Amino acid sequence: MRITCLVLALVAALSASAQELTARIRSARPFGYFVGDLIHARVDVSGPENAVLSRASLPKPGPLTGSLDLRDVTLRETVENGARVWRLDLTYQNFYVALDAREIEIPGFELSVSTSAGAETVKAPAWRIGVSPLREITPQKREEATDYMRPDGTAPFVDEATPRNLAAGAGVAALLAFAFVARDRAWPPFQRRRARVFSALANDFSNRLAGSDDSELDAAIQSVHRALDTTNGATLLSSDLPDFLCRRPEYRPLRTDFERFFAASKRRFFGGDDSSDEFRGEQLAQFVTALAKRERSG
Amino acid sequence: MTPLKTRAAALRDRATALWREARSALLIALCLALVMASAASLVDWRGAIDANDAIEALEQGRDVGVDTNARPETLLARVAFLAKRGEVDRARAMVEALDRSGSVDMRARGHYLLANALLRKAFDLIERSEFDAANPFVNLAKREYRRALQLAPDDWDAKYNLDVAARLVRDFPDFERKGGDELSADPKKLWTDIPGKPKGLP
Repeated sequence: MRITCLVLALVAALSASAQELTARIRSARPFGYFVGDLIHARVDVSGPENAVLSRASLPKPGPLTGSLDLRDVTLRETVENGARVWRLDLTYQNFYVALDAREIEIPGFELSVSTSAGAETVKAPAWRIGVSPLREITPQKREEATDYMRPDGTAPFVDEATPRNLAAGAGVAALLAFAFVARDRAWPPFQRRRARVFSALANDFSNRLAGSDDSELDAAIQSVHRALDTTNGATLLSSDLPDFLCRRPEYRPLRTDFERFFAASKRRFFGGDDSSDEFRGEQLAQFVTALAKRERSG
Repeated sequence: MTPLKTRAAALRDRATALWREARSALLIALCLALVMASAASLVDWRGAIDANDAIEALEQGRDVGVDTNARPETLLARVAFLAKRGEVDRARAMVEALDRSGSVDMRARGHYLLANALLRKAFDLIERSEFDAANPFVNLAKREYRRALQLAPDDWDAKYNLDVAARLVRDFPDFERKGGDELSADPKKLWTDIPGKPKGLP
């Protein structure tokens, strides 16, 4: 706000001190205030550089008179040309209902300042502003007394559009995220993705392997072999394993499982010690689940 | 390759590996978070629709009960409804609830509506020549208008109606008073009167 330099008062308080304590009041405009209007004023207090202003002596926000409030007080402290300057920005609110244009008084106040000469007080004097009426003294005759008043007005409604748009946006984003999850986990309709053969197999096994007999286990082991072949791009034999794990590092943590699987498969289909056939349906399902997990991280 | 580049490449590889490991879990977490966010927005939307239904009913003059914990807009509609019917005590309870939850503009509007109700009551009493009974209502209305203006200094309706109220019962401040910030608004230093009130014998 542009403060027109209307210097209302200048008070000299010290005669003994080398540098005087002074207070200047500048107001934005000294006239034309209606009831309820805010009145901004700036008080510049200057004193010796080593002076200290007592914060407790600042005017306190609150009602000053029956028709005047002090709403806000802010203090800034600077040093200019070897003098200390305290800049007080004061906001008053006028509640005087004027019947004609007239002046009302804004009360002054005193500030306590400690200087090298001791505690001093500097007085910001009272000043005057012009207030104006809102309407003529004798308004036109109305039928009802309440016609002289402004109406109640209409009630505002709650904003419905923002939560609705947010819900729609979040819903669409959630569906999209769900689609990504389904794709990542090869849920239908993504189960046929070439890159997710183990996920598809794991889904298949979780339905099928519960109470499997030997022939089903054979088929299951064969289907794991086919899946491994698909992933490898060619038939994968146990001798190809180091080369395969080199090309597909995501499966490296499962090296021992791979070796156990190939050993078990070899024993099952090409004979061997049947008593050590520990790779039953459950372990096979776990192996495939682990493969599916590594496949997703690939 | 400089050591810095090697380290950067190693860091990138580790980040890629970490992303691969965590991607599945992160996608699930994101999906769940979005589902919860949309559910919360839906609940909010439903609440807004209910509040607007209540506001519309109150505007049409239907008496809808409103809890003091309701949304500020609903509280304000309830204040307007009660103020229109001159139920100032119940309206005041709602304005106090609004003071706890509403925005500055809504609180100002609430005080304005309450003041209007008080002023209408005062007009009613003045028309029946009950000046002594009207006096406190005018003063209460002025206090509420002042509160409204303290909250919203640019509320022209409140300024205008405060002017109307202040002309019914004038305050005569003591202009001669000297002093500083320690002076507060002392009711004993004001005197109030309704002009035209007959006093004594003719």
